[in-house]
Amino acid sequence: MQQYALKRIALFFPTILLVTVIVFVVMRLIPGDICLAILSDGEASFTQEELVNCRIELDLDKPLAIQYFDWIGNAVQGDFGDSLWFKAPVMEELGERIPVTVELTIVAMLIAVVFAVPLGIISALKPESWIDYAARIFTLAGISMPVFLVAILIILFLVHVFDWLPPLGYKPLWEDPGANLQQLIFPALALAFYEMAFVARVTRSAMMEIIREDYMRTARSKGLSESVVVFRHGLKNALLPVLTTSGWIFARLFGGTVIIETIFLVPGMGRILIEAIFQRDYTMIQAEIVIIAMFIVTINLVVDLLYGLLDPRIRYA
Amino acid sequence: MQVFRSETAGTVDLAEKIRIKPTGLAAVLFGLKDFARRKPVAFAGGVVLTAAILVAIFAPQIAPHEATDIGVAGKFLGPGGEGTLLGTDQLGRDIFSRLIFGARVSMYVGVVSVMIGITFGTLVGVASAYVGGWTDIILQRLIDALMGFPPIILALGLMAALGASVNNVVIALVVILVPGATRVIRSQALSIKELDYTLAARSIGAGPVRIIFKHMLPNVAATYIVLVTLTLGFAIVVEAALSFLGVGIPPDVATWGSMLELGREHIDKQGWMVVFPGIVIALVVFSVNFLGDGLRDVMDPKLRGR
Repeated sequence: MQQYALKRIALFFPTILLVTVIVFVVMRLIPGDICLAILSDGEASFTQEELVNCRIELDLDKPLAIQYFDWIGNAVQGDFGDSLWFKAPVMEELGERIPVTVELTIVAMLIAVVFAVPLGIISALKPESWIDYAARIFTLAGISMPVFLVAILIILFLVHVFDWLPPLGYKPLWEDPGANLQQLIFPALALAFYEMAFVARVTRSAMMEIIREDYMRTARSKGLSESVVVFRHGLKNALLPVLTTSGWIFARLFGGTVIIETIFLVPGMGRILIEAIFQRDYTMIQAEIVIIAMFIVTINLVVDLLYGLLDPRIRYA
Repeated sequence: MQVFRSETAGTVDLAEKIRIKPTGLAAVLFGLKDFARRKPVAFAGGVVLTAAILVAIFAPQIAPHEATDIGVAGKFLGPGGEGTLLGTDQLGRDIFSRLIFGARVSMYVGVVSVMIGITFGTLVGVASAYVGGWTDIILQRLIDALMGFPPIILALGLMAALGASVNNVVIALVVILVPGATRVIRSQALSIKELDYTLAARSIGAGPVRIIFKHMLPNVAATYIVLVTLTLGFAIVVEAALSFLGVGIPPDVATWGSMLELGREHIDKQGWMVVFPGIVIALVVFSVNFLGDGLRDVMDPKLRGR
């Protein structure tokens, strides 16, 4: 285990480093450079002097390698530079937005797991039953429905049946938990829809295999009740594939928040990313993409370590 | 005697079978019939995909109006209103025609980006497996890093840098499709590299180019075809999502994603404006996914559960 954990942790750092390099390179793909893009936006005219000043201000006159190491050096200390739009440190704005998105993601994950795991298990225990067919149709439809479509259909339903529109003001969880949950429940449901289908599918196929395992037969033959067999012996093992795929699930959820927050007017990281793209706020875009990628790479590390801890077989792989 | 005769008859029968083994177009038709019998739902998915591609190609001939024609009838009409099939939007443009022209964008972007992305990923995967050593290690770390981004976030970053245009959407899609394809193909190429026929080829002095093109690439062909179909649905969804967010295809072009966004803006006035593009996207993605699943089961059972 120790060796596996060390190996896995050692892989973490080059990955993080490369993630930052990729973001840095992507931001240099802007035709011309950032200053040219900002100044020539719309019909605005600008002087050579303005361009030079802007380049000096954003350190674009320095060599690329120095720009990169300056950026990384500051980023490690939590300073991602000043937003080109808010004219204030990026983290000031992002700091308020990150908890919203994290809450939305976690609520969606909980909805997906709470709903999908029992569905997958029932579906596997009673194959070819009506509930199994219903579950399979739901999962197939679910993984073909893009998240924006689910969100819009939910809004369409709410608007035409209940005259409901997404509320504009946002209430933090610790100030007004009731209002906060009311605001987040529909976005979280829309975000969770795909994952419900995905987790149900993964759980079902895992449980189908586990039912045939020797230890399940042994558990039954020594007279354990059906619920003990299913929950103590079956569920524990059926949750493993859900754990291994949770890295992908979180990646998809974070990606989905961009769309969901825009549709439901939730003031999180996702919505500010889209706003930043329209405002050509490149420092904001750069900071946000790096932070999201850090989240995902870290979650993947934790998942792999947990998996190594829970399933001894992985250590020999 | 009786036995002997029946044996000869059997041989003749077999020879006959071999001789009438279909070739050319007949073989393709026979294969399709076989696929339709074994995987009817996947076959239906293939029919829908083919239809969507044909609609995209012949859009100007099929659509009753141009996608940009304003005021062909009243505004915000429901299906069937004033002689339109599926109603009109906030500028009185024909939704049916816009959906047909939207197929052009979705199919072009989807097919082109998947072909480029998966082909490039396959070549990199095979080369990485064949060369091995440090090249392989560095490439794999790079792929780890690329897979650390949620695909849509990476695509958004690229679109922010490159600007909204059809070709930039293709570029963004290629970047997010390559890592996954490289992973899958590399692991398969690694096992092929150790197989006897590759070793035999090497021992008689075949060079790397010959081994890669004659031995490795043909043996990942099945996986390649499956990957192309399985990722096509994903590519169509990402394009629609980018256009929906307003950063993908420029807004003057009719796309399924931008139609959905227009419908969302006017959702309280005319619900049908989101329903039809929604149905079209879901139907096409659903069909492509079913086709991919079916092809995978038939061609490459090892990929199941990926």
